[in-house]
Amino acid sequence: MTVPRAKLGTGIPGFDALARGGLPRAGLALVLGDRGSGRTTFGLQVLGTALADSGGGVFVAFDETPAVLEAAALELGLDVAAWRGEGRFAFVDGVPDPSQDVVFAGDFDLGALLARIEAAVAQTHAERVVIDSLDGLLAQVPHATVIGSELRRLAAALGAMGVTTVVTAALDGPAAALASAIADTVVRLERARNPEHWPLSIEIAAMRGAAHLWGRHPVVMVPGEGLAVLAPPAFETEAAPVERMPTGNPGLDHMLGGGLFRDSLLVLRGAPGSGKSVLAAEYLAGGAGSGDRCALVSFADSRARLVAEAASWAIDMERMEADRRLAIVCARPDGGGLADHLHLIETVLERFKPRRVVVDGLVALARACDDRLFRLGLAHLTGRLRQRGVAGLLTWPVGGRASAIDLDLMTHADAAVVLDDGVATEGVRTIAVVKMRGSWHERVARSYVIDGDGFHIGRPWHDVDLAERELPAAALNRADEAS
Amino acid sequence: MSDPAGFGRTRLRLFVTGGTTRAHRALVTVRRVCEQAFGDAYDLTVVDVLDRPDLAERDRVTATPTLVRDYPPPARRVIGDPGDGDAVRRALDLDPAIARSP
Repeated sequence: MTVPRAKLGTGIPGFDALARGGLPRAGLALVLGDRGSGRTTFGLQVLGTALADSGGGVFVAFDETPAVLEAAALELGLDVAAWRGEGRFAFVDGVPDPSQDVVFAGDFDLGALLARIEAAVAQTHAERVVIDSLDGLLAQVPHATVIGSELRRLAAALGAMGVTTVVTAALDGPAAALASAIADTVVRLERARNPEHWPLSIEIAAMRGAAHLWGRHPVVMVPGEGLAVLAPPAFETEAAPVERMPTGNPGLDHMLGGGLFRDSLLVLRGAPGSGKSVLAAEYLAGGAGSGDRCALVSFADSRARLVAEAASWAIDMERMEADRRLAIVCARPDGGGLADHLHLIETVLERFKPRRVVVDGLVALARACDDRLFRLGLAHLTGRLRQRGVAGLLTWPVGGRASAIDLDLMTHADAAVVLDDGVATEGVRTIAVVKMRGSWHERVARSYVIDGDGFHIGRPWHDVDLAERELPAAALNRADEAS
Repeated sequence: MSDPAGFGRTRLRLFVTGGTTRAHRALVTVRRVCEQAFGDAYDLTVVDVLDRPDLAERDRVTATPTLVRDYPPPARRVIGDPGDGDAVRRALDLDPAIARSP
């Protein structure tokens, strides 16, 4: 039986989940990526995580000068100049002086470089060293065999000092070939050429003697923070909640058998104008009224319109904001990719720490990318809500988009409610609960009206089996089985 | 002929990884070439990178042995074992034929 290797957290969001804890401690990780793939950013983040935690780090620069790197780090919120002043960080400057002629005579080694790196590690008490990039070194010293053997020597020396090393190199170049035999971890950062694919992906191609997840995973460059990986959410291990929370609409609470379970995900489906926003606003007001912090993320409307609309149903969102019970965040769907928007939601969760969150107009984001990616993003979002113990309400239109997404959404949902505009029910608008995980719920559709006081649920509409009409029964059964 | 070019003393630094035969050989060769070419009109500083990694850092020296000519300009580096000295002579713009004659 092999002992699992100790891992070192990189601090790159999502990456450590992929790497089952991080990079093998005291090992050599090779991060492959072409220029612009974020390989330098990866290295800076790995160092930044240690430095922010009062550790030490060394950056060995062969591509960009320390001044350029310092500015790049500052853009990621990493003040390496300050850490350098504290003696916890050092650059080893490997960028050649352009004013110097260089002539190669006979055999040589990289003794000077190794001595400089080891001195910098000793001086800063570094536990992490980043070498960026091996191709830069190879361009200066075009002797692959020398670099290969010296890299091996360096890896052994740093490993013995307990230092974890990250070496970057171009994808599939000569430097990559040199280092991949020495590295115990190989990470690939790849840019997509096809605009319909996710722009940047990451893959752990190898990790010697340590568990990790397989496959390519989408990556987003978050301005001001760096790389974030959309790793598949961890499996749920917590017991199903038994505590209920009100939806903010007493009629709906009744139909759900006494309200939603705590921290559950509610999907609210309906055509435009069917009243999803009213129920969503009541959901927020109900949360705020019972002392929960709530957040509204809208990809559909401006803040002013959301506030004015809510006021027309007697809900004072500005008051909720003033009481620090509500945060409203509006984003244009075309203001970034799906990954950027998912990160925006994550930021709201992190900064405001809401107990409930409404995400309105998510479908607008689905239009900008292919189904597979959107479903991945959706799984990520719902997984993150669960991990954080945040109750969610997602609004979703009826029809138009591929049923595969609808099915996925229904699978993730703990509860699903459908609003019908009444075209097929002689003008009577109806509301039905089509799913309520772990609880009895009403199986009949009820009529509803919306007025200046909000959303009012009326008597049952006995002849309408909405579940059958809005979603094929077979599809619903499949969704239930999968859940 | 202590100052053949009329520019003043030649200044050189040799970076080595101390204690190796390669370091010793490089030092012997560089001294021999310099004595033949400049007599005593040169200064050679030997830097052991294991003792003074800070000097290697300041000059951004990566490989050993590395011979750095600080004066006269242009600044120039010879990386690697100088062998029989010809590479050093070429790098220092010394005509091998003249420099080798006694």
